[in-house]
Amino acid sequence: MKKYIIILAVALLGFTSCEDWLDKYPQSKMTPETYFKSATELQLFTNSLYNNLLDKAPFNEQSDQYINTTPSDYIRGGTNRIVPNSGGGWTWGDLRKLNMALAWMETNCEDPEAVKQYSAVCRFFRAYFYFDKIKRFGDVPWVDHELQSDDPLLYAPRDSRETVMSHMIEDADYAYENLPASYSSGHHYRVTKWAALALKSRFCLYEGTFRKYHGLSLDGHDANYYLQQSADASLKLMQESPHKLYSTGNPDLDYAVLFSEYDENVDEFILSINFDVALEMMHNATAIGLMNSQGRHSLTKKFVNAYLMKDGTRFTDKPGWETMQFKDEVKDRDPRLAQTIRIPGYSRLTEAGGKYSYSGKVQGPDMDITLTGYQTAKFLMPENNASNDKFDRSYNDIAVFRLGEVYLNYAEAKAELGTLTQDDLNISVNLLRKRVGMPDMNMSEANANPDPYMASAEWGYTNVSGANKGVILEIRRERQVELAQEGLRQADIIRWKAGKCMEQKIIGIYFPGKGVYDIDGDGKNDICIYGPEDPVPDKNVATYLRLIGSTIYLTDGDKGYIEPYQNLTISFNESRDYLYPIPIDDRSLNPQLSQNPGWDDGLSY
Amino acid sequence: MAMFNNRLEFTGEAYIRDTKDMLTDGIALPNLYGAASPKENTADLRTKGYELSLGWRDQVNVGGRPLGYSIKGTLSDYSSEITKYDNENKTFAKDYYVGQKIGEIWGFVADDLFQTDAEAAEYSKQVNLAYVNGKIPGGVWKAGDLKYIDLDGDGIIGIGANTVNDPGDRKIIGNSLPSLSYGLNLGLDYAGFDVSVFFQGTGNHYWYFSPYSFAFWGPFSQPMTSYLPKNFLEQCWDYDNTDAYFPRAVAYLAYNGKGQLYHANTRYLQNIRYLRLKNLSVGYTIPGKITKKIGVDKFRVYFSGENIAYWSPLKEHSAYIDPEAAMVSRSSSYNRAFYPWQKSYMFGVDITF
Repeated sequence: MKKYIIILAVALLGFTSCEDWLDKYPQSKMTPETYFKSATELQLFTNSLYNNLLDKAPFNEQSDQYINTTPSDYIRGGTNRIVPNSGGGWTWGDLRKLNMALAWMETNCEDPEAVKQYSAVCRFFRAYFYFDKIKRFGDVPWVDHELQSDDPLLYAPRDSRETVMSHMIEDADYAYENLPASYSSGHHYRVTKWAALALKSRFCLYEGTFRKYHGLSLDGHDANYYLQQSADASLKLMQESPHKLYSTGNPDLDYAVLFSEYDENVDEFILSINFDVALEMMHNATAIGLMNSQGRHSLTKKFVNAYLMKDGTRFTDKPGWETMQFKDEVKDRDPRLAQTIRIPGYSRLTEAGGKYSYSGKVQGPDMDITLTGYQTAKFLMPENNASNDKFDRSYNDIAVFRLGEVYLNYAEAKAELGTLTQDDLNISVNLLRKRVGMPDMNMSEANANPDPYMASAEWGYTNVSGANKGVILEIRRERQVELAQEGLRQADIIRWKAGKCMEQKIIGIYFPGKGVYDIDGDGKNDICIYGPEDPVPDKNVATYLRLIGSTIYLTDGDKGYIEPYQNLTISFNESRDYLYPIPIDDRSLNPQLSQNPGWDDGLSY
Repeated sequence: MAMFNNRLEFTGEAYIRDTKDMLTDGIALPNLYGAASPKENTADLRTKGYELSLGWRDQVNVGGRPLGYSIKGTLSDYSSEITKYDNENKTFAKDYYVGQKIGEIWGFVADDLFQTDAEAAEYSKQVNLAYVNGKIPGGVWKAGDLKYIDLDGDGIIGIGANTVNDPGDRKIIGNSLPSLSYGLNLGLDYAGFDVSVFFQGTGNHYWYFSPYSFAFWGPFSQPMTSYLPKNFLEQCWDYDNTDAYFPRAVAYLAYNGKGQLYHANTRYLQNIRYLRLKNLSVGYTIPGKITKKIGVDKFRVYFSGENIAYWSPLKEHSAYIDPEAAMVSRSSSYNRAFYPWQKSYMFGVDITF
């Protein structure tokens, strides 16, 4: 009997001490317990963050300056915007993913260098992820670990944006400390410490200006703290990184090439997306500029007005600017205009042996493609291969961060802080000006005579004030010009509390009346505008025949600016539209989650 | 059970079925969780139902010839109720709750359209209609818009706490499962003629059309499909068409999450009960003594028709959606129930040598 008891005891002992041995993980599936072991596994895992979080089509962003045939509900505003039941940007899958990687690599990976690098990658993307959430929702819950299904955080109220921003700064700083300065490829398709600085420069400027213009003061840091953080990050990047502006000394070409060349410009691009025909990674920018079926993306009159004259004077100071016809208004402007839209004499880029030049095959605005007359030319592939002009066949790399933006962030943050000097402008925006052969921005001149156009309710920003009003308006102009179609406009409007810009006129080029016009001045008649009472013109009269009230609408009946949208009411609700709504299902499941102001989701709390 | 010399046939069944630990999609978690909640065996369901069938078959002599006739009816019904589910505060954001009858439709009470702009303006001043004002130009309520009733009297049209106990202005307005299913077979033969008829149908059951169901909503759903029911404008409210069924014509009213037709409501809830003449056949067999002379055993000419006619309250508002097809395909997002069930007619001759 005793013998059996001993055997039983031994057996029991055996069972309890062998628990580890009994835990088995599936062999056919990956589990966190068996993954995150090597640099390769960490890299493979974090690759999806690039794909999921970066904006692969910034040129699709609609705004008050860049429109297409179907204005989104966001643009229309008013009763077109709704509180969704679920979704609506309230998605957290990528956060869970990167938090999971952060936790497991600590325990599973024995290569400290790999842990250092990939924890920095994860924390870079955590800050990137949260920046999106802050922009959309304002306050959001901060989560820095993989949630279990019974975690009380799931049912907690939102954290203040101050809390979240502070953590984002920690993440960006950590990423800066621990990411490599460069990769052996020489490319910036992966995040570097400079990308961390660029991210910080962007989101701190956002937060600083948002708090300033929305009059938001929270426990913790103030607007100036964030503006300073942004300026510091920008300056550090400008001084310490090897990044510099791309320039070959050709002001009429360099800016265009920067967005069209096949591979990223390694000098200027800080983080970019590698589009490649061999990888079947392609985007749609070229088709947008060349095909009628891609939504007819077009720039607006307001967008074009902002470009200065080539000599640095303002277009909107010229007498009669409002009723100038297309070929006259685009003459002698900031050379970036000719590299952003089609103006008379425009031809596409062509590439030979890695060198880019204009093909010389002149094309005017195609009125079947552009809604306004201002046809986009930025981000178009060189015209070497016509098959690239088709839907989703572009493989020129797209920048996520480039030095040009950092310069603008720097100048704006310093100007908003009130610490901007002419020297600051000279090491930032004036380098952008130099590249395109524009005269320098002069701070004292700008402040002595703030542009009434840029401050007008009809075309600009009414809420800029203070000693730096003039230079802030000029920096905003520069930002619009330099960063056209780069996907930052909506966020700018939100942080500047400039929602009324959305309601400003969306119009195109000017026609003084009915008749036949040679829009691009090439001696060939482009458009014939006639009224319903007129005989139908012969089709040889002009390339495009347009019937008023049917195929063309002008603001004053039979003359005026092209009206791309008829009877469209755009309304921006100042007390609602600066933040998105929280979805109804999530508020139902977690009643602690407050709704953003002004959104009627039907819930009683 | 058969009685009276097999002339009467009757079967009856009543049942209660308990389904324990159904595998469901998992109890909904806030999206912050960051992943789909795992499937779990979480729900219990109790189904109660019955099935009846009654038939009578006989032959009588009429004018010295036998007249055979038969009649058979079937009737069935069931309902299911959730008896266990982890949803303590009974929120609608989770799939089920204890006490839920499967198929129940929660909706708003809204039976009338505003008849004047003044009435609409006055009402929208008293009651906050923002929850249902999507796509109304400028957010201004006008004649021809749907008058949502503020059931809970709080001055706001809304969904309360989105729970069973506080559903806001919603209540159960119907059930999407048929309350009855029935069939009726009639047969007759006399003097070489034979006739058989089959009817089939359902009792009350309800359907609120999906926002994508352009076959019903027309441009209230997606104008870009450019699908316009023939009498669409006659059905839309206008100042000179004030007893119209649909509201004033505003695109996307049903499509948009906040539009007045998007939310299930009593006015546009459709009863898709129907009665259908599924099959009718009539035949005549020429007497054998005549046909045998030419070496033919049996010679029968007949006519038969399938899906000849149906009657349904749905027909009044949509001639394009077949209520029986809806039994099958209304669950898909586009409610593809608009492909009509084929009518077919057949004339034929049966010859047996």
